[in-house]
Amino acid sequence: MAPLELTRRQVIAALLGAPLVGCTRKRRFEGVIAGANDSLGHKLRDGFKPPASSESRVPVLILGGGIAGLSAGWRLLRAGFNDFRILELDDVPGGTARMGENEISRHPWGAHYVPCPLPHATAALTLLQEMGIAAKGPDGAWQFDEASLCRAPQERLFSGDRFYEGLWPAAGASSEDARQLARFQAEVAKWSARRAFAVPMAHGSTEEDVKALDQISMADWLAQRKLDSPRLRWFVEYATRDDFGALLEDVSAWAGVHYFASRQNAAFLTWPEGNGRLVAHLAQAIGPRLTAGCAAVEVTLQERGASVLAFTPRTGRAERIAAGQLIVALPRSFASRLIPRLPAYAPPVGAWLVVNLSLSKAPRSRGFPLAWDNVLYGSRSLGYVNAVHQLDAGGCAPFPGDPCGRKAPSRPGEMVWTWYYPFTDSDPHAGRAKLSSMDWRACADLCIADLRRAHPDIEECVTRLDAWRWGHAMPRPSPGLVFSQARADAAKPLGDIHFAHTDLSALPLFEEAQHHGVRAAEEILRKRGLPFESLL
Amino acid sequence: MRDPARLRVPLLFLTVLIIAACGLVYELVAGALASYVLGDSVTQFSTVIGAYLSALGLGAWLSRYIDDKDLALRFVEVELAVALIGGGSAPLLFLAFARLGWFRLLLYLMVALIGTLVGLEVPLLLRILRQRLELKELVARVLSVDYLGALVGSLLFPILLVPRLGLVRTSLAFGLLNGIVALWTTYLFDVELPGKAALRVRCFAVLALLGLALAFASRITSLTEDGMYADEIFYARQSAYQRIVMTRGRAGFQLFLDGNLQFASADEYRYHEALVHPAFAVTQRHGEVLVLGGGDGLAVREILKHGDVAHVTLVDLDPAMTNLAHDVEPVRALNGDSLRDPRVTVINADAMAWLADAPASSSFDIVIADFPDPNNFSLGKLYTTRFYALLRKHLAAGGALSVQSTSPLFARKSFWCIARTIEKSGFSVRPYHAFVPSFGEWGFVLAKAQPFAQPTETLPGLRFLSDAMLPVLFALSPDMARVDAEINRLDNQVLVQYYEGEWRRWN
Repeated sequence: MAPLELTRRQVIAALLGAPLVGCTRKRRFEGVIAGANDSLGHKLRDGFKPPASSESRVPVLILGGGIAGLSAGWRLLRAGFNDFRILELDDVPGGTARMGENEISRHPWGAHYVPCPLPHATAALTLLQEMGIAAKGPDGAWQFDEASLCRAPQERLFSGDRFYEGLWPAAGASSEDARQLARFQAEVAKWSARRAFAVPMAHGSTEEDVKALDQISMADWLAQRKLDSPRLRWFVEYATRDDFGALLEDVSAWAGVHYFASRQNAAFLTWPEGNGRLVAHLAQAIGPRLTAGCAAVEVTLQERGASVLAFTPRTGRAERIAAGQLIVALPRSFASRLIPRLPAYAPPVGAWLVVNLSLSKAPRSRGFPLAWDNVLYGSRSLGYVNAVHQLDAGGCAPFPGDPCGRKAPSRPGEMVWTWYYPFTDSDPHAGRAKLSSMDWRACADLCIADLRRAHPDIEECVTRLDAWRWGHAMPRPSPGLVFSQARADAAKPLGDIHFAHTDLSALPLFEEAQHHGVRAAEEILRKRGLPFESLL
Repeated sequence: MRDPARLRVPLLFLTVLIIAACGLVYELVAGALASYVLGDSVTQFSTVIGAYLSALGLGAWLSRYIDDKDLALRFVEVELAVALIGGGSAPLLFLAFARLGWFRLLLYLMVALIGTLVGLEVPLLLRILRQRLELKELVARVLSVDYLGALVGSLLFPILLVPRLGLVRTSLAFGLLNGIVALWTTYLFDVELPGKAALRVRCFAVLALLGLALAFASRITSLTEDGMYADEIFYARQSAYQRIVMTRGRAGFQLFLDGNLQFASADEYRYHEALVHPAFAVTQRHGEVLVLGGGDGLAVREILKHGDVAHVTLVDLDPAMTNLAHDVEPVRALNGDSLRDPRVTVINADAMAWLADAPASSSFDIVIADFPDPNNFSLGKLYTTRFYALLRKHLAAGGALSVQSTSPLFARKSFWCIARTIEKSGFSVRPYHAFVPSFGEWGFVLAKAQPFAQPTETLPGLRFLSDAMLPVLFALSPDMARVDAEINRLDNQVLVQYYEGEWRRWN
């Protein structure tokens, strides 16, 4: 027997309780603002330069232990090159793909899924194959591990007074809404059929009509096609907020169409800890070559190689490292401050609030049952993802090489929800200022008020609420950015300094970060004359 | 012109009749609701009636503290209170059971409160009518009408109210009746009432509230447990996972999980013999047997009939279910104490998680999957390629798997979806069926890693299966023959959709 989704008791409670909600008891819950102290980052911005107390040399040095930096290291390892180091400012690698863990389950703190890569995405497929998640079937087609594919039910939308299956707000839609959706889908299908858009974007088309889409905003693109249905606009804007943290006016039509046309209806791969699963695999492969809690405070380009001043806040000591080649896998704004003479390129970067809620039981809701992705129509949030959706019965999912501390099934109904809120202000600094002024109480209030609409008893069920304020969460593909010369130039090496980061695509996706990491590593392999077969 | 006082006396007797019927109905509602949610109807009815009658006495005694000049006013107020509390009793108690830990306390508090209020009614009326009738006439008429009202209530309750309205609407409707009596008596007691206007406003407010609740209740009643089981409930328990209810009828007892029939004692042997023995008939070795689900111990009973079984592992999620099979009399008797057999190990875990974590070395000669039908996503996952792939890893060479697979007649596509999913997971399958009167035509899938012949011999001495019967099991009539269906995977769970669509046609 398995846990049945709604017990009789819950049904009665839901039905009879509805008019008597006023008498529910509110439970207190606690939590913290989790995450790295950003004071070091800001100190570095202000020109902090401690004296070096030791010196060392390394053939290849990578700055930044996010997906781009880890992927660069992983690519070097796969080519048999082991002599490198990675420095990561935070105590934990992963950047915005990092995971967290609490008494109930692992959970994401940021990026939490990857669409099944299409056959051209060699690097992503190679990684997933190495992890045992992707394999070539007898017919040569890629197959994905069933346990990692997002389970059904995948998506539901709260609209009016209940949840409905899927993300299109079909309930109450007029025939005009439906016609506009059909016209939108026909436009997308046209681009999909041409395979004009791809992930990573390096595989996409650069034909003129594709490039033209980059010159206007997604809002203008919809307006030109007289697609003005509020439901359709919400549906498309949900996508741009979800993937880019931005409104229709602030992203290019190229990026808006890319979201829908690049995936070819691929299924999703996801794990309780989100893309933290990928981070864990990469970090395990890299092992002691990764130094966490250590940041570059100065980079000097030399005739051959580069010199880096690295500071470890924990010990207060600084080290001078001479590197044969350097990969700067940092956000562009960081890189620009570290390295003088860097070509000007500054994609707008938005702020995000991510909240993880521990729940003692499933809050009540009407309509379609709890899904992986749970969205609220008309909300400024993106809704929440159920971290235990991919688990068989509570607890953490163990994975090879990194067994979970707690494998026993948790009590029935216990779960962790990860709630996402992008600050979509057109001026990203304004959103960042708002976010940094929010204390834990303000974060909790914003989250609970949002969820209460769909779950009147949410406060009774929450046992813990932790918030993460991402001041610099993800780049926005604003109009004109993707096909700009500045973006193309930003990825080019400067002497022995190479660059890798998702900012270089202006598309905040795992595959883009991985692409740039692998590309930078392959540039170095080529420079060193090492044999390899490209994964790009 | 007729004397207004004379005109009103018969109407006051009608009032007595109505309030007597109302009072009895509240008592029956509380008793029925308590036996329904708590089980053991004899105890519930006895204690509810006891509490109610003693509260009537308390009410009668308290009536002495009401001043003669306030009689009419207090009577109307008592009626309003009965209307609200009595009328709201069933929805409130259902709500309380669903949400509160102290349901019993609330139940007896409400019964006592309603009883006390109803106990006040007749003494107050007697004192009001005293001024208009002789004592012997008064007592004779009021009490006879009172008992007549009780008869009306007790007849209406089982014949009309419960089957037609259900408990929630019955209690609300009778609350409305008490409210109408309150309003109506403000007109009957015309001269004796101070502050009539304000009192009538209160009456209307109470009527409006109950009316609103009734309008809401009519939408929800069909969805509550109210009136779902045909037979008497003798066991009811809410576990962490599901609601377990057992009912007793003329032909034995039945067990329900969340309202879905799991077995009826009268014909479960047909189901369990068909589930278990064919798998034994197509395998050589039977030392290690695994049962997934089947916490009732009935499949284990059949398994233990084979002398060469060395060890049975039963994995069922819900300890409440395996404890029931282990300890509670009728189930324990029916499964022949199978869970107490030294060869049996009981594990309470999610079958999928348990299989994923089981050491690679553990392998079983026979696996029986006896889960409830895939009517939600949590159950649907136990019928996916992922689940069968895990099972396959733990099946010994030459071993067999038997899966309960819902009805090939009522849910034909679901049945073939299960069969195809098992096939796709690397098994050779032989779907079969059996007729189980409580369920109708029922389906199973027998599977092995290699192609195999249909079984021809089974244990002697079974009640349903015999060697002659086996070919009948494997012959599927044209209306159950294979239909095309998608493969059920974790990421699509098509089976849950098929199942919902198909059973909706029959329910």
